[in-house]
Amino acid sequence: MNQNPVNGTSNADLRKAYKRQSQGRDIWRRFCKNKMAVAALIVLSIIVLAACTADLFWDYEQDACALNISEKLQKPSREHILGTDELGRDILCRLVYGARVSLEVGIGAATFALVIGAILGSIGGYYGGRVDSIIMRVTDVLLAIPGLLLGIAIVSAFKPTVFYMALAFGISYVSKFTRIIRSAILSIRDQEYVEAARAIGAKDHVIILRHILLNCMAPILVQYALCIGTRILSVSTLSFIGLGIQAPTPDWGSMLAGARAYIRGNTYLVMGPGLALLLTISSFNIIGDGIRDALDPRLKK
Amino acid sequence: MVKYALKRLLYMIPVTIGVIFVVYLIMYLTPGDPVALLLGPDATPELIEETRAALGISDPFFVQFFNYVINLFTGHFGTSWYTGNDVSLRLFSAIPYTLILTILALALALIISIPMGVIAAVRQNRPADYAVSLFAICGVSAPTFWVGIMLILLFSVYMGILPSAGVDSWESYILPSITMSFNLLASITRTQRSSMLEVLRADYIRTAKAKGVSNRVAVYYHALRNAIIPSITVAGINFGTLMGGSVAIETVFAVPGVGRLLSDSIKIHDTPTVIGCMVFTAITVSIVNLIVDMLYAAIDPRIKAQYLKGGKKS
Repeated sequence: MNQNPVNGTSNADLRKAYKRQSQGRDIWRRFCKNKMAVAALIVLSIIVLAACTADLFWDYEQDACALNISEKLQKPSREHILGTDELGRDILCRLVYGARVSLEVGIGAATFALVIGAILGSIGGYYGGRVDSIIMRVTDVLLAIPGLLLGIAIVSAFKPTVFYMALAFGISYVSKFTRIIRSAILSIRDQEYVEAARAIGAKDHVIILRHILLNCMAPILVQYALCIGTRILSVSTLSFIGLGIQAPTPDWGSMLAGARAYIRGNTYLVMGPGLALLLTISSFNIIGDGIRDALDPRLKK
Repeated sequence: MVKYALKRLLYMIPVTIGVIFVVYLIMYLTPGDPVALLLGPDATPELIEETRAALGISDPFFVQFFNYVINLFTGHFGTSWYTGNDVSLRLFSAIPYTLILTILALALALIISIPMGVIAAVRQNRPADYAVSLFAICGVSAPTFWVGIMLILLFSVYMGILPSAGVDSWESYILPSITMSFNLLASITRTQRSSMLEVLRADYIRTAKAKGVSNRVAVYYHALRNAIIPSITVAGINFGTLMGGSVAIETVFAVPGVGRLLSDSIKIHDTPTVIGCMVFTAITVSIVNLIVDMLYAAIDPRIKAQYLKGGKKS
């Protein structure tokens, strides 16, 4: 393992040795050693797979949305593995379709926040000066408003569609990404290799994208995973209080809201959506932790 | 120190105005005519015009915004489009419930999470640590409203020992405040554990043990005092999330607090009340962050020294 790759004889050996030493591979190996993180990755893959292939097993209009009052509030059985809800719809089917909404909004919001945060943070951190202080003041303002409330306000001002929800919950996370990326850039900006890139005449955006941002991917990636988790949480809260995705579109938050009136005697109704949320969000959190530990082996001795 | 506090206090003013601006702008863009809502279908065009003028809705955006800020500094939150009264009436009656819940939740989170984090760190990689870590990761990820429903199921439906809704007695506050503290409790535990792990490896702890200090004193006196600062930061940062969470928790437990008022007002398009609730929350969050900053100095003499130095320079 520890042999100097230069001592190798053939080109193939050399390539192999370098590959083994590549940083990404190293991080992946350390990530795989973390059993919790691997388990979370598997759980998450199953959820994503189920959400993608739901159409193979169910008909969206017929099974997830259409009312079927004659079969309402059935306990779990062979026909309906998780039972039926207060309007007679199969809970498992609605859970799987609900994953779509949650994942779409969660990933959409996190990506939106990341892109805007990266742009603002890079500009602020790299150029500094007045632009930087204006950007920081704006993030101060956005940080003072609880993200959930800001999201609720924006969604109620527009429409509770997946697109607007992703936008609304993304905005509340922009400040966090902006700050993380800005401080990462500040710490890298004046290093020699950046100066070298500047000296050979690289353009600013190339320096920021290729030389700086790629080098501070670690904290960004961790934050991205955690962000998806918290956004899913916010979206479900919004739907729970009745301001999110509107019926009959299945969503975990609104399923819980509907089930709440029937918890006496029908406990199974609140188990499915709640556990689905818990599993999905904790998977993102554990994966985020796993990436952080893999990136910085000092943390986990 | 005082100078720094004053500076921070003054800085709160532009931030608050910025917050009001953002909220006001969003609400300004919300479609829907409040006058039609307020007067009903039988209103004459003249009456509609009059009411519009009285509510100040026909003014340009910046005039409305300016008037709102001026009114706010005299304690007026505008007229509710729903009740026709001043927003402050309903807002001020809702605030105590939310404040009580938030303070209870914060206290509960700090009291439980810090010892748990310490225990997990001291017994790293042993069953106690795994149990605490598992609890913490679940706590961070669990939707609070679902936790609330589960607690109602357990304590109200099955055991029947605690009320599931309302604010009639002190017992009614138990379940909502536990629910509210859940996420924060878990995230402080995580922070406390990792900062404690770091501190326990520090040289000065080894020194303390070498000079014969008992393990207990080393952990609870030398290490904890240094490891508690990140936890306070996390508590401060997440205070906003805690208050925001009241929207769902007050719905679950039927608490007539600010969160409930906010979600109800959004549903009936009562914009001034919505703005009032958001502004109140944002100001509270800012004040708490200020207090947290002051707390650092109280706990850590090194930070205090920095402030003092900074104060002399400016």
